[in-house]
Amino acid sequence: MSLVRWNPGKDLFSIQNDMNRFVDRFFSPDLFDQDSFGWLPSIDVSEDKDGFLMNMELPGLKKDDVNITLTDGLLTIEGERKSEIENKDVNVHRVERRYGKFRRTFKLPVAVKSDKIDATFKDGLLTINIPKAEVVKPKQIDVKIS
Amino acid sequence: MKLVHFYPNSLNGLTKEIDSVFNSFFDESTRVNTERKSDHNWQPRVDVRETEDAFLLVAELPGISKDDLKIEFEDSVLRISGERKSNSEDENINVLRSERVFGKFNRSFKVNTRVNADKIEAGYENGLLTITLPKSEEVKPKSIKVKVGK
Repeated sequence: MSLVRWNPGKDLFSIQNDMNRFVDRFFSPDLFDQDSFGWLPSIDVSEDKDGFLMNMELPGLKKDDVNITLTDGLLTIEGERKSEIENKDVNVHRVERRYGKFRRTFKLPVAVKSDKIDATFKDGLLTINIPKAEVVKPKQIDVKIS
Repeated sequence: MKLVHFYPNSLNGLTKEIDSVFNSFFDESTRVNTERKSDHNWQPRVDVRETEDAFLLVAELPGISKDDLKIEFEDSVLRISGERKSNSEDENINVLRSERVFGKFNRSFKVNTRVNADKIEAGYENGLLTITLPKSEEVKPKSIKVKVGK
């Protein structure tokens, strides 16, 4: 192994790059993906002119098991799935499902109407509707020619 | 080929055989799966537990309509199949993140113990499909009470 010159600035730059990558990409940063939380539920996010639609797969969870918060443009969905294994079970043959806590955080790319965010839970699918704030909606102006 | 010692009294082989019997109570039936894999692109996560009376299979199937699920039990093979339909093909929608998988799925499990096929039950709640396979009477553990005379 040969000796290499240590450039203290290099590590710093790569951190900065990482940070930029986080902030630049619409909706993509899962800022806290890498922390101690056990599993990441799958999510689809789409956008139309009025707002954003998020669909997260949370089979086996109920409304009260999930917490959604919006702080400083960061939307966090977190909760916990408890193991269903009971004392009366004599054997466990297959465990593919994930249990424990989860948390996913998304940066909202534009201003939204935070008081109009609406969430529903059906068949293990969490659906969140986030309407965009008026200022960011493209406005159509009709010009009348007299 | 080399000659190997033969240990007639070795319990190793027997232990392995017993283990394999127990492990294969609820095997994924690979034969059936590979046959039909080509047109199926995802597999739901499945847990299998066993109580004294029954086997319990729980599959994660969020966002699926009950009518799109099919459960079959034939020749000791339990087969779950179905389809998760994508709901949006709207052109005015901009997809920002797409992690969920849509389309057909199919999983088969070989149930290597006797179950009461007529009494298999299935329920779908909160995106979970739960299938209960009651054991046949002859494989259930029996407890015998010993009465002590006065």
